[in-house]
Amino acid sequence: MAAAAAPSSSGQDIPAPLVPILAILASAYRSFASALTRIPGSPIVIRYIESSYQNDPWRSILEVLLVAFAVRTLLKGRTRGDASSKNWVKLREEEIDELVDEWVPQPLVDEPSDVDKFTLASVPVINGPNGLRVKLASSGKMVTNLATVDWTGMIESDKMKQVAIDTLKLYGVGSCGPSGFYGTIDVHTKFEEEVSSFLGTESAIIYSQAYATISSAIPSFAKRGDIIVADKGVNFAIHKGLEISRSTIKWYAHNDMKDLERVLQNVEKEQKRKGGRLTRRFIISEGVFENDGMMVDLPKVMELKRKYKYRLILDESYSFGMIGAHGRGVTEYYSIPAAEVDILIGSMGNGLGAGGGFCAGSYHVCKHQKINSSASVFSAALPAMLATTASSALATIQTQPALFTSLQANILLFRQILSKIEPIPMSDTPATSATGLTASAATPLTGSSPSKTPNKDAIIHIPSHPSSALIHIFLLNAPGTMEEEERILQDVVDELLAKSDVIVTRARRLRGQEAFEPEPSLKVCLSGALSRKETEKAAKGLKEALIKVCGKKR
Amino acid sequence: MSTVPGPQPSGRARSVSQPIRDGVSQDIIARATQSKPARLSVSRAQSSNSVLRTTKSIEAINTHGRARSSSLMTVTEVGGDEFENVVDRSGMGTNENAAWVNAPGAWIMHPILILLVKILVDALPSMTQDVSWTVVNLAYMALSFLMFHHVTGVPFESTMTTGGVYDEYTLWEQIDSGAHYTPAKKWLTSVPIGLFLISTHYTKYDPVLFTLNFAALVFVLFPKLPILHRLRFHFMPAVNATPGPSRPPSR
Repeated sequence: MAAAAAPSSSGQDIPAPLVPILAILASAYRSFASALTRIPGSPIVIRYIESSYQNDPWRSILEVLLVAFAVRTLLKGRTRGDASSKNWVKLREEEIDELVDEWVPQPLVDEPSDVDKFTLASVPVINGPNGLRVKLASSGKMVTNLATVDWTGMIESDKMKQVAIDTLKLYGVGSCGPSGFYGTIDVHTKFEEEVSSFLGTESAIIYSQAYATISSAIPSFAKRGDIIVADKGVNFAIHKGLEISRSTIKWYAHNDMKDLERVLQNVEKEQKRKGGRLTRRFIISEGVFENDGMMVDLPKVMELKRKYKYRLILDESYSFGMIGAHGRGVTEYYSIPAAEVDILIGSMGNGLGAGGGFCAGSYHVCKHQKINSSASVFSAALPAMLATTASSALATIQTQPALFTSLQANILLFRQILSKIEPIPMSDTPATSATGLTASAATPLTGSSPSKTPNKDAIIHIPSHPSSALIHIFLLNAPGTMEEEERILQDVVDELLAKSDVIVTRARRLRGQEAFEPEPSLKVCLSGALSRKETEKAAKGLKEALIKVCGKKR
Repeated sequence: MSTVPGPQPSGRARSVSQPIRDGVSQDIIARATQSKPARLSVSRAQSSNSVLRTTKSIEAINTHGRARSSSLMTVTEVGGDEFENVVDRSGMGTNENAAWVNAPGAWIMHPILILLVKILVDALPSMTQDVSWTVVNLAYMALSFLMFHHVTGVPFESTMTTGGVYDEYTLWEQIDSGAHYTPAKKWLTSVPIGLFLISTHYTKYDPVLFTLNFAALVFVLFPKLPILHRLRFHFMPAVNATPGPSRPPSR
């Protein structure tokens, strides 16, 4: 209490030197007390303090400590928030000027490295429209193009071109707004209805870009704390979607159903042990994998998804319009209703020769994306002519199943010719890798008996499913670095173009950007619109080019 | 990333198709942002290496909280300053859920509401001053604890903006993006202390009522301490949440 000075001044035997000091202290106390009474409201505080004491020093000390704590809090300086980075430094004006003077701008684009130059130099230039048969700019020769996705020849179709021109005249080019903001036109909803009735799902929603479809649909459903079990071999767009979703990602070995089950069991065990809250849980896979052409074992995935109570996100960007008797994708191939796949993603750019992507599923799944999926909310809606051409392509593949029989015949022919240089020549269980791929074993393609004799001339390995028109060719006995391997593959591509007038391509990757680097491979896109002769010529040419380039390396 | 010389084994299995070893716990592989190799570093990737590396970094994060298992209490830290979290928090811009505490009306509301409740409680028949102040104090402490220190997350958040970055944060931890000793936080710390001092004064320092009021104050003040920022205390944590076999009721 402030009265501490008062009792000491009332002492009897004060040494002489202290008297003036005490007198000063006493007068100071008196003037302080009188000043205090002059402050408005001070009697209340004094009365409060007097009545507070009540002969209970401990409680008074507690209250004084509380007041001290409040005062300390009030006097403390503000600290930095979370959002600003930890290495925040306060700079003086001259230091800022110095830093600004020292700053040298980095080039916006790096000088192309050797790999960049090599990649740029290896791009063939064509004159005229893209398609199955293109005219090379360098020599003016007509060559067969197996580097462009065109499963059923929609790019060549004159009907599609006419539909596009008619729509262009009626609607103009763009839709000039996001779908939720004046961007939706009748042809969009018409195509959504058509694709959902084609697949047999409740509803569908279209996106203006195929890449953005999956990378935006995943984060619209999953966020922090949710669990996503994903195949390690999924494509780049899915990787980006997983990254944006911030979910807990658990990977399972590529197309390995045993490993998938192991991962699902681990998640279950962990949740039981920790007793955490219930989260959303998804399995993510592709129909036909973009990175290698393998096909998912859908019946097994469906079984596991039901057993462990997961939702399935299936990316059919490549398999839609390629697999199945009518091109409905892997769901049709395995005779599983597409409505049982919770979230099914497809592309109009690959299978339908138009552009954009779609997501098919239940009414709620699609409705949710309209306001929660960033690509649907923020990007301008699909141009009308892409929607009408997609509708037209959908009508074509529904009425002409022959397109798919000729595609499958071409694939079979192509694979049979190339299988002569594969480790295990074409049989009914092809593409079974050493690590036990069981997916294709359930689906015999031909009646021929498996031959188990190892092939001495083997130089390539094709993991792609025998029904997949997307074929990835990997080298056996690969050289030490990826760069060397890319150069060998480019030699094959160049040799094939020079000798047989066929364009294929190396699978182009963004090295350093993917979570798991895919191995270098050659990518071949077959088409049902090719004649048998053209397919045979391309396959034989590719086989010879591979033998010539890779044979001499050994 | 490592460069592996020499030929690959024949019958080439792609690296992604190799199952992850059991020894690698939890096989949580970080999202692709973590420790990426430089662009265009074209060398052969052994994916199992990246699995090991990223798993380790995730484990380091998870054990960051001062977790003490098999004791009466465990302390864990929520959130974190990983790159993604910082990006998501700053990407949201103003956190509307917490921004209102800085509005002038929000400050004056505290005394107004306290007075209003005091008048209402006093209106009850046969109400004494000490009980009414205790009721007001306890009600204020309880409500502010619920509001600032119990409820987590942002109620009206869309996953598009933050991906759930505030899911585990209380309102107090969201205010002023986690900075301490800001004007709003100083005000919100002073109000309960002032209210407590007033109410103990008017309860005539009855030991029981004093203890009640003081305990309530401690409950509200402790979570406000910067040292306890984003820490969670779990008393008697459930070691095994698996329910035991259910038994029919014995009679």
